[in-house]
Amino acid sequence: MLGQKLTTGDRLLLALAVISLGALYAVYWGQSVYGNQAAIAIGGKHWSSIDLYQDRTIDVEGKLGISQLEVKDGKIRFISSPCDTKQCIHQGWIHQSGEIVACVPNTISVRILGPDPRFDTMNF
Amino acid sequence: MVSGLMLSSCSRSSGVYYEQFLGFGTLIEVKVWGIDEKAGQQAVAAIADDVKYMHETWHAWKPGSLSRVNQLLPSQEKFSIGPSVIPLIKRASQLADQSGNRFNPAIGQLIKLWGFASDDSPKGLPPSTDAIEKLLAQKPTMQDLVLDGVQLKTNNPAVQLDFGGFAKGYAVDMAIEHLKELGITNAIVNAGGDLRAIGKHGDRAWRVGIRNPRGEGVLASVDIQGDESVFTSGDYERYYEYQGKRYHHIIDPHSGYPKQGVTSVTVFDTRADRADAAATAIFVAGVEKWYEVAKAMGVAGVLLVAADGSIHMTPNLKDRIYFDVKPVPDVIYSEPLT
Repeated sequence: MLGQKLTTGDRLLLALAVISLGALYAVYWGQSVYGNQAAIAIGGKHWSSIDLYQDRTIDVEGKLGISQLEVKDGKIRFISSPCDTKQCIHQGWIHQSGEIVACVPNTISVRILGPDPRFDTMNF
Repeated sequence: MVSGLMLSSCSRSSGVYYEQFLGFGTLIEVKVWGIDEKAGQQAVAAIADDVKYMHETWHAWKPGSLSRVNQLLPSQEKFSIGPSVIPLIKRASQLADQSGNRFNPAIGQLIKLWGFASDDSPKGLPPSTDAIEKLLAQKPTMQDLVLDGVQLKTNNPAVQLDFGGFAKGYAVDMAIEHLKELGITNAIVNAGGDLRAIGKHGDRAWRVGIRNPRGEGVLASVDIQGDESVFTSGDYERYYEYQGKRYHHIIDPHSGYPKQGVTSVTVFDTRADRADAAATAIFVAGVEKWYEVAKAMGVAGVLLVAADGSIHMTPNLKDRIYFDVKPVPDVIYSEPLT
């Protein structure tokens, strides 16, 4: 085989192999890094687990009132909250497994879940 | 529509017991590797009790042992203090001294003047120059305190204690010690983004993501080595804007104003209380003097993000820190700390 030119079939087979590898990477490794679920807690208590690939907004009622979360393309963020500092909104989107965003005054937290989390905990 | 069903506060997956609760005005997360759910619940319940007690006792302004100290200090007379506050004062005094008073819990009045003593963000005008200068002229420091057994006094009526930059670290240390007493050797206690970790996650190290202080996502990741604390002070944590200028909560005790020129400081150390105090002190020291203060306080490692976006780091972190941002930033390495 060495020294011979690649045929069109060989090239197609190689391209297919590369694409398959990419797909396998995305499915088996990528999903563990980019979690597909998030756990929402209120007052430290688990409230609900949600699918991050079902785009929508979610109203969550905390100690101060309603915080609104936006879910889009595997990511989640706070878009409104009755807190004073709005730190939760400033943090923006999170999507990697192990990432967490919280509105402490409204006692709501959102944590990205994944089978092999990219991070065990977040420092900030 | 998501149902509002209240479920258990804890979870257990991949050998890890996880639970979160609110304490010290923040979200506290506990992860323990290799423990059953019942033991995990008992351990976290014990920590939660400790944290509740410490928060109530050490709050600078809400009724409790420390706020009583603050009420009595201006009398300049000797008075008895609660035994739980004594080790906190001793340790904070030691760290303040090492930091050249860049970490200075005696400036409670200045913190209050800027409005950061409350749980809410301050609104309205920054304090007047006159008011700041009047306080600075009295030079309150921890060295103004005279502790004799359980009796405390000061000759400086401007001293008011605020352990906001330290009590959380002290509490994290106590929580980890409590876990160790319960026989737990693999755990993380994270209080509002500042953490101490011991042991491992099974056969691998605990993985920590350091949030990007500017923008979304993660700046860098690091694997924990054995028993290690990671604490960050940043200008994005608590701030307000007035006439287009950001006024954040890390006040330079020497100038009386929020320190400029630094975005965040992440400190690595075995002890959480030192990491907490040092993160504040090194932030206040700024780009010019951060290394000097880090060395004086004896911390293990530092990652500093300057306001111009440059990154300064101790060389011992070079092979441990993996930057997540693109392009990977150039790093200015200091001399080794030891």
